[in-house]
Amino acid sequence: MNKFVLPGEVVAQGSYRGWSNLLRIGNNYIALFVGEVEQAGLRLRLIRYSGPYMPKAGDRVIGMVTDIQPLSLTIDINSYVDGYIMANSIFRRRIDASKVDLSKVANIGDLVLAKVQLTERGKDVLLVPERNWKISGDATVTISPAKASYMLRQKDGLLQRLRKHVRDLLVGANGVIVIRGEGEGLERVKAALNAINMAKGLTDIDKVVKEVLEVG
Amino acid sequence: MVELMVEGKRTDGRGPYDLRPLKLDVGIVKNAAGSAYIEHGKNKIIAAIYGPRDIHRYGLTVERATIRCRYHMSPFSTDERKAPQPSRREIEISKVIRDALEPSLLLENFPKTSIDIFIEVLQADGGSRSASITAASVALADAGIPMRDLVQAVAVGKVNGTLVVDLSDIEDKEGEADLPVAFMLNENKITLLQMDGKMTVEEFKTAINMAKEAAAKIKEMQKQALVSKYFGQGGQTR
Repeated sequence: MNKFVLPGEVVAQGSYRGWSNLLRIGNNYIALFVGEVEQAGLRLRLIRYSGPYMPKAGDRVIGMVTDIQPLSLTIDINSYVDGYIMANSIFRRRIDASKVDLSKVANIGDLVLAKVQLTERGKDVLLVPERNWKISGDATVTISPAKASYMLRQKDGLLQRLRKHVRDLLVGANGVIVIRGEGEGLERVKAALNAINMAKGLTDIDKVVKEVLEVG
Repeated sequence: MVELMVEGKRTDGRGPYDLRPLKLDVGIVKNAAGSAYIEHGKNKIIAAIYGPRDIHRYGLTVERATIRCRYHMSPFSTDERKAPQPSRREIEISKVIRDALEPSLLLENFPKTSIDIFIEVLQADGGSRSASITAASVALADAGIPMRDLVQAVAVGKVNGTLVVDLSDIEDKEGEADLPVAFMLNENKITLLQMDGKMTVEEFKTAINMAKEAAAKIKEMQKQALVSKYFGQGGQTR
């Protein structure tokens, strides 16, 4: 069972091969966030319960176009850094700057689905658009990135349970969720997502979703 | 001289080592990344954290996040109306609070950004800077800013020749000395040390130890508040 920790607590002592969201001082591993600690062999991981979205390569995120440059789109990815999509990754070929007009393929406010390709400290995040990168939905909900990443990690079908009530549900690792559906199902899923956002920690999420979907 | 100690008891009935009643709530400001509300004695203070967020301003540190702190006393927080514009004292306390919290934070993770700490004193009593530090540290943890330890602060003072912890307003004003101290207890570090008045070296050493004991109690309250928000009432950390 994972252990709950608060910032400053000594999570473990000894020598581990890998650790994340922890600070090593001598032989002590110190928690940097509120969360729970998962141990697998010689690896330690603190699963954060709060905090901003910290992009990492491979994450699938949902963002909004906020600016159109001659050769790139600036994307708000619900983080402290912006993301950008290069024109050549949209057209999937080399681009002649004089012949490209990105305002013909995207507008400010469009929602996009993309994968984080490169993060560099202090710089914007390079994104690569998915094949169907421009997305739309009937509702967009933003939840805590920590909770979104918990939903994506769950193997027991938390997402499947929500998807039963709508046509589709896209979850970005950055906490942005796009719902496609209508009527009562849509309202139930929105209520469930809001309840997830309000839930204490991560351990209550399954219970909260069950309650909202059954009662709702 | 005002009589502040009578038969070992202070004006509010506390003993020299007793803290005033303390209550902490986490996550009370919905729009903030993290927040906390503290009632410490008659102090009522809200701390709210915004960011990290992108800033483009000349002169800001690019290698790490810049902490901006605003301590503000509401016009209705004192007996007589306080002018709403920031006073010299408020500007100084804002800086002091920022300096007390900064050593606990890992700001290198967020280069070229700012983390804003807003502290609003709704009702003021003695020790509002200490209470603000305690609340702001919890709010930073709530906002998910990486931190090495929670910071807690308390003032120790001298009244009628006796050292006492957690000064009330009258003890602060009429006492012989006031020593606000902030700690990162896990690392045994002091992040704030100010002194007003006079103490002997021995008194100073004793005062630091008294402050440390009081900070340990405050830290338990901070932990309880976070546990209550994130793990429920029955939540237990290691």
